[in-house]
Amino acid sequence: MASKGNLTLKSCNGKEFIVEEKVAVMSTTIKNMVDVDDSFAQGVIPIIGVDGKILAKLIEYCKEHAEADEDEEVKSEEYLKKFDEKFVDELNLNDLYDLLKASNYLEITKLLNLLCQKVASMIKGKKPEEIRRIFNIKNDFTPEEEEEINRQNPWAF
Amino acid sequence: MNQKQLPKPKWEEMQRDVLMRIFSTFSLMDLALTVSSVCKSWRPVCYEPSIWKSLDLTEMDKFFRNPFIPNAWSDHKSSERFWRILKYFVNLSNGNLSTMVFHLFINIGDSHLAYTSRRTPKLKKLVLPRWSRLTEEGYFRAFKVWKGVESLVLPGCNISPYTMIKLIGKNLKNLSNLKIVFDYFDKSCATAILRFLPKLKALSLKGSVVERKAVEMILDNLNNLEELNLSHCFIDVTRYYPQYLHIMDPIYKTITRKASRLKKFYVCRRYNCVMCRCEYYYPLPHWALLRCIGHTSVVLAEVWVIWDVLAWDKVTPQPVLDHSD
Repeated sequence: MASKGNLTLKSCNGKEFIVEEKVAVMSTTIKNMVDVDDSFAQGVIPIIGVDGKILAKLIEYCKEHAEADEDEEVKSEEYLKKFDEKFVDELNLNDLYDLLKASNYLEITKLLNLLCQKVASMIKGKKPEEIRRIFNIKNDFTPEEEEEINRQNPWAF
Repeated sequence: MNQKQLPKPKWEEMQRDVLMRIFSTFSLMDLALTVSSVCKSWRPVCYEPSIWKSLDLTEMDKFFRNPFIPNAWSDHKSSERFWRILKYFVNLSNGNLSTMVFHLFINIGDSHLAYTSRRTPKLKKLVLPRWSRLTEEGYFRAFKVWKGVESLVLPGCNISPYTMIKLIGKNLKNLSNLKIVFDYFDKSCATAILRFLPKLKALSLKGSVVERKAVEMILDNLNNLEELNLSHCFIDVTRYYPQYLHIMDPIYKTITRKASRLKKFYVCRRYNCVMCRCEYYYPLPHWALLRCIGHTSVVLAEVWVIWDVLAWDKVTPQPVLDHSD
């Protein structure tokens, strides 16, 4: 297994991406796969449940960060911060959801934390109804249950 | 390419560990009072004990109408209400709390402290309120449980400073970070710190009136000290003839010289500190001010100082001073 070789990642809808190994191993899941089984390093790694569009985004993110880890002068911390900001700002809600799931599955901790922060900032300081509206969540409490919750809240005392 | 229409994302069905990661940045009040009533699947995640690490009662302001006055919530009815709130949150945390911040303006008694301490044995960081009915006995019982506390903020105490430091030193053996406001930090307080808290790493006397000799004693003898905060402090030579001079006045250069061994030393820059400038306009000493203007305004001024002391906790202090000044 060449340590600087390229890996091929295949999305669930059949798109293939050739990426450098240092970029791919930002994902702990892929790193473990490659470490355990050499055949993955030469062949194609199927990324289950992640479609081409999301995988492209993931690779874009990992590329920037892998390069920054290698050469701090070209891509400074400030540059990365700006990149991160731009990256999350451009996401719509669906992409955000898919990326969250994908980065959790692939264990890309940095990205996962970034996305969680983004979601947290969308929730913070909002009322339950607003949160439901933003994330398209159905209110599945029955009126009786809702009353019970309100009664339990300490402000109701 | 013939792509299937992707199903709409269902945030209700997001994996539990991802939700926990998101929720772990929230305060307990947010979790218990808003996020948990969004939907059925989010609710149990909000009550996961492992994310209940820190309880900040100052956030009550967001949910309850809070009067910003000393001794708030101390009358019978609101005290009862506070009891219920405290019990609700402390019980929900299931003994996992590592940080506990009492509300600055909420007057608590021994029973509150005893109840909380019994249910939060893993506490690492504690912030106590400014005005309280706490007694020596109450402090003693609580501190006996809170053995692991490493950082303590004490904006004011109603027992003698010497006794307080003795209590802290004898019980909180792991304490390395102490923020305390003294009405008057004199040699007896300094002696107490040297005697009972010799391992202290960071000390903040922000907003106190301090005696020069006492500060010098601390700087000379507290060998483990790495950080000292003297911002908004006023310094005088003796208690009875106070000269309210700013700590940066030239005659106190000895202090800055001695502090040069520390890793961090905070004092205000002389003219750009709003708080200190305000004090400059009152050339009267503290006690005379108290008599002249009356209790209320002094209390208000104090509130401001204390508020600032706590805010320091959250924001990085700006006036990091160069030692050369």
